[in-house]
Amino acid sequence: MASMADVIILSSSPHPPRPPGPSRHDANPVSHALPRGATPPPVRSTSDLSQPHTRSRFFPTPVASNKCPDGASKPKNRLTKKDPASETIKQTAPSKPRRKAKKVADTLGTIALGEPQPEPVGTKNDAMKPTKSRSRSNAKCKDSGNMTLAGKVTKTSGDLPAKKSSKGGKKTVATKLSPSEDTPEKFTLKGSNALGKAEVLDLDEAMRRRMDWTPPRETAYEEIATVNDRDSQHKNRDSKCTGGFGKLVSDYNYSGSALNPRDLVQNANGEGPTKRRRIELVNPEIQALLNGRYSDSSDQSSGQGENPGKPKKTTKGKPKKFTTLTARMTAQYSTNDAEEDEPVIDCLPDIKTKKGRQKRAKETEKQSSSTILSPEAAVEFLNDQDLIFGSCSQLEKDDSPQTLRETQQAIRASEDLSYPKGTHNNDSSVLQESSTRFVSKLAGTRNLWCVGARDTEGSLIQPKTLNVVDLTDGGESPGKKSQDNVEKPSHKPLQGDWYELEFADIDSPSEKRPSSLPTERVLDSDMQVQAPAPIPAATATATATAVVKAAKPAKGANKVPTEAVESQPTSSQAPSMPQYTGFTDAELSKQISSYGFKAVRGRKKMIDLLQQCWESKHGSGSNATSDSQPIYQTEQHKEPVSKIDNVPKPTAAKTKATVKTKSGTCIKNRKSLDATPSTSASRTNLQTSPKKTSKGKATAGTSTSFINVEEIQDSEEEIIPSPSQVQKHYTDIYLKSKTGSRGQHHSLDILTKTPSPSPTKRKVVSSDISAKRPPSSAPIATTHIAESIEEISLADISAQITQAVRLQPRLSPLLSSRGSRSRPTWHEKILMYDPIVLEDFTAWLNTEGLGLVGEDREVGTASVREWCESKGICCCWKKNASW
Amino acid sequence: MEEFEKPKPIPAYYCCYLLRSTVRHASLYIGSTPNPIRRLPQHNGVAKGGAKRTARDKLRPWEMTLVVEGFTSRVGALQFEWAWQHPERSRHLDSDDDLDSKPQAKANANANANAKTGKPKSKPRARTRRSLMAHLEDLHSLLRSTYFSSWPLRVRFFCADVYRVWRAWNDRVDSRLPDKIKVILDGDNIATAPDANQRDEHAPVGNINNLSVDYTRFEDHLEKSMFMLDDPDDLQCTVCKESISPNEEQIVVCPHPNCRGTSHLLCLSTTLLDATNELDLLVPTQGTCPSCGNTVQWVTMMRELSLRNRAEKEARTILRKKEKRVRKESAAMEESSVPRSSSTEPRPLLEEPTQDDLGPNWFEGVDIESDSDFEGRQKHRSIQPPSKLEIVIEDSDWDDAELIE
Repeated sequence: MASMADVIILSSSPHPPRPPGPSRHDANPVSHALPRGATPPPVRSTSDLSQPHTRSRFFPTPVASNKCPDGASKPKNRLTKKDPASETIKQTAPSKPRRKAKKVADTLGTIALGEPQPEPVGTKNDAMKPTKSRSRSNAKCKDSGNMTLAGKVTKTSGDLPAKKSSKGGKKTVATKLSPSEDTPEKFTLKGSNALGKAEVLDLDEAMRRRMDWTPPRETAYEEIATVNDRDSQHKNRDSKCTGGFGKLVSDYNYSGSALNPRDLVQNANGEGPTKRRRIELVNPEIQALLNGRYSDSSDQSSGQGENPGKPKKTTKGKPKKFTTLTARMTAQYSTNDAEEDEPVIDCLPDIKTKKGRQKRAKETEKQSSSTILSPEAAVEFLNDQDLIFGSCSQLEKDDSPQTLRETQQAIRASEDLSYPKGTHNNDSSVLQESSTRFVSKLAGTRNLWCVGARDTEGSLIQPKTLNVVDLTDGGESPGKKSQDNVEKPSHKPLQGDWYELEFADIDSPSEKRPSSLPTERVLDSDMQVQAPAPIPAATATATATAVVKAAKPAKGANKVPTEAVESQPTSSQAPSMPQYTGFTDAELSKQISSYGFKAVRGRKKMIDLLQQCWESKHGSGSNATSDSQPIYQTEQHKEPVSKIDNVPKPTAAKTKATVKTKSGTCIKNRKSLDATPSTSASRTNLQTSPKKTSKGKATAGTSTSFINVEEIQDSEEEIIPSPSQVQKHYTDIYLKSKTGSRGQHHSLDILTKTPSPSPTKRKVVSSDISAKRPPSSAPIATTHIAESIEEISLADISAQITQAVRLQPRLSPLLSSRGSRSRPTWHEKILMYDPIVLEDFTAWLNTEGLGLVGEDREVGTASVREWCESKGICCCWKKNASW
Repeated sequence: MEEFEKPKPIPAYYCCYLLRSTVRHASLYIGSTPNPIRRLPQHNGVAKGGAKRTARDKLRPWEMTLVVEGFTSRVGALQFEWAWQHPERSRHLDSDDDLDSKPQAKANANANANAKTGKPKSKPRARTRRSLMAHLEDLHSLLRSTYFSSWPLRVRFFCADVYRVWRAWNDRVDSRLPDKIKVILDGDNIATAPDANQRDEHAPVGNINNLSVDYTRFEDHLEKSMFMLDDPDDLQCTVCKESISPNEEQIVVCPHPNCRGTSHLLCLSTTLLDATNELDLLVPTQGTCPSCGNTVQWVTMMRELSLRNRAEKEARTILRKKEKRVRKESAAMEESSVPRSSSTEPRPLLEEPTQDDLGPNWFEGVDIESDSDFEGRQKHRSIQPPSKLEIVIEDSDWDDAELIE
């Protein structure tokens, strides 16, 4: 870990990187940070932070840090200055490095606190820091810088823009900045310094971290901070005076320390920071606020003092720069301008936007022109796109697009089964929509992001496009541009749920294009970028946009969602009974065979049979259960309500909380209520809150439909007539038509009898729904009887068998077909005195025969034998059949 | 579900018989055969293939005291045979006292049987030592049993003394045989030799050798139906009034020579069953032809139907032979100055009724001459059966037979 401290040497590197960096810096510190920020930078960032401090000391510190003992020696120095306990820990730790280093860093941070004053620019900070760190303890400073500072320092650099924005923005900025600057620095450091060891370790760890990444624990973070504070208290006190810069520095240290204990492997190395640090950073903001309050206290000043410093910087620099998970995710897929040499994953939207304002406008124009599609093409493209919704973590986890797609398809397929066909256009569409959303939420994946980030041509959507937006919106004030641009365009396109969905997903561009202007696509990209950090935007321009949204969503909600749903593959796949009438006879026969039936002769019969089969299979409420359906639907609505009640409450609570936290959120809540149901869960707490609320409400709005869907699934079994019933029905009709009087006699009996047994059993099996649902007229009365009858199983079953045997011939397609003569039905066999093979007959009864009469029970050969013998039907075992 | 891709037609004849040693009347044997005319000589050693049990010269010759005929399948006959042979183990037999409670546990059945006979349980011994009375009791019980009572069985007594015992038992037993089961007195029981030409299954034949064990009885019916169904265009089901397609459907043709009634199997069965008011029944025993109004035996129609549908080859062979025979007959008749030239063609509809009551004139007229002809037929038949249907030859030797149960 001392090595980590050594990494501080990186600070030395920062200087060299800067030279290359300058170009970036020139544009904006933020911009630099973002591109660089990608995974590796974090470590570097730490180094950066430390760098300024250590530069002069670089060489000494690195040496010490490189070797554990050296690190130990450094802490000792500190110890002498600071607390003995800390020293001891550090000494013991030398091998353990990081925590100790962190502590050391804290001390350093305290030192830095004095330095932080130069906050305005990262470079300045660096310069300041080194001096301070030098004064106190080089090694310590370096250590601390390595671990914690990296991210924070970068923040400071990024702070310039970030400071403009709120504290949350600071965090994001910090992360961004740190990586960007760090990367070059680190490389340089590695090469120049002996620290290579540490670096190597860092890389490995970073990889692991990435793999294992999980949202950071807030609590732990704070705790660590406190601990650090304690250690660094002494120094902090000293540094208190420094104020913002001191805080900033301390924050770096502090945060680093916090990070280190948790993620020693992860963040300390620097790669981790990209993701985790940012998250942590979010917390730090709060802490930073607290720190600002408590800044008086020495502890906080040291550890937290840095944090507040950061936020300030961030506030200045960039308002929105919260590095939300979504932002990061999206950033990965959005390539920075070609200018940015670093392919680094992290290009935060904010940075882009900022840059974009200046440079991008030009670039975007060019790009936009090339990429823009015709409205039709855009629509098509959009339709083809797959949407996946999910938290960043979910998206992160998910596997290859293939698997996602497959899972999606599977889900759809399963849903299709449950879906009622197209009973009501509106209802169905709503249902589908809700379902799709639900599904999408469940199955979140990176794939969608990937897809969403790309143009129709497959090229990454570039942040530059934002500028175009600006151009379009040019009339608006530049300061608002970023926010306004994002929101306004979003509002326009976001007429319905659909847009909202896209809002989260980035897929929207395609739709928007067709709708309004080519620039809109750019807008979309902006939306994507900004979406993660809605809060600041909301605060600024929320009111105006909110109104717009509120107005539009109402209209769009009804229409747009349906379209969107339709556009999605799921909706298209929604189970609709195939038009069997349109099939050729061959196809029909094939279909029939697929259902396990033998060939039916008449075309019409085939169609009827297929329809019956299809209904039974897909459980369409429409045909068979005309009576029960309406009731059933009403019930569905009822239940949904209850569910809705449950769901929305928590969300509401959240919304309130969020409102309190930020003024802008209220407006957004409105918006969200109206418009954006499908926000990604990935967003950080602050951000998530508004969106979550939106989700909750959105779900509530659609919940009825959605719930309906689920219920349908459950209920289908019951509502939909069992295959046996269907068959019965069919047979009855058939009998009446064909056999006339004779058929009716039996069929009537069957009708009255059969329905009873099945419903009873089902009810028993089925849970609540069945009870609620008013059973069909016949079943109710009979159910009781049937239940009682079940006790008398044998007599009953024999009667059922008799009925089944009598029914079969009529039902079976064989009757009219050639099979009847060559393959007589069981009844015919019996009539012709054929010895009945018990095994076969029993098998038939259990598979088909009893189903004909709605008998769910199965019969054994013994009981079948009893039946045969009671009927005087010659029966035998299979082995004797050859007699 | 149809395990019988080529189901066998209903055999022309299958019977279970009670064999008794003429030397020692206590020696009894129960067997089954589709052709008692051939089987009896086997038992007597005249022909090969007799059962071991009957091989002892001391006991020979054997006589068939009675036959239970009318089995619709070999399986059924074997089941009946087995049940008769093993009354104590048959699930269809209870003690004679518990008349109808067939489905009792075997243990009970055994106990009852033992109690009744007072003999130990060891089956083989018990069986051999069974008295005639015991066998008749068992037979009576079997014929009353739920399983067999609905079968179209007939009991034909050839020996007067056996019939006396039977009568005696009948008097003692509370229950009567179901009406379905016909008891035919034959052989010794009838004073005068029966009309050998009688085609009614229920008519006495006077001698085992006179039994009609092949399809000859049905050939007229068969011929008629095949002739009719050859051109089914104008035919329709007598029940549902829809056109029939014999190649695809099971079409029943009324056995009455003058009736052109055809109907779907299911239609007719439903109609006949509805007339009986027994809804539980699946197979009608007999009924009134909806076309001609005559009483028709279900078995008769089924036998013809199964032969026609399942053994088309054999059916045609039978018809061909009949043609030959008829030609011979006609020739003979022409020689004898009786004009029978028309017999060949119109026969299907007009001639050779299968039932007594019909008794067409032609038949009466021929009757006189037919004696000689009959002999020829008999020879013909006795030789032919094996070739006609594969089933015919097989007999059951129950010494090694498996348990049906």
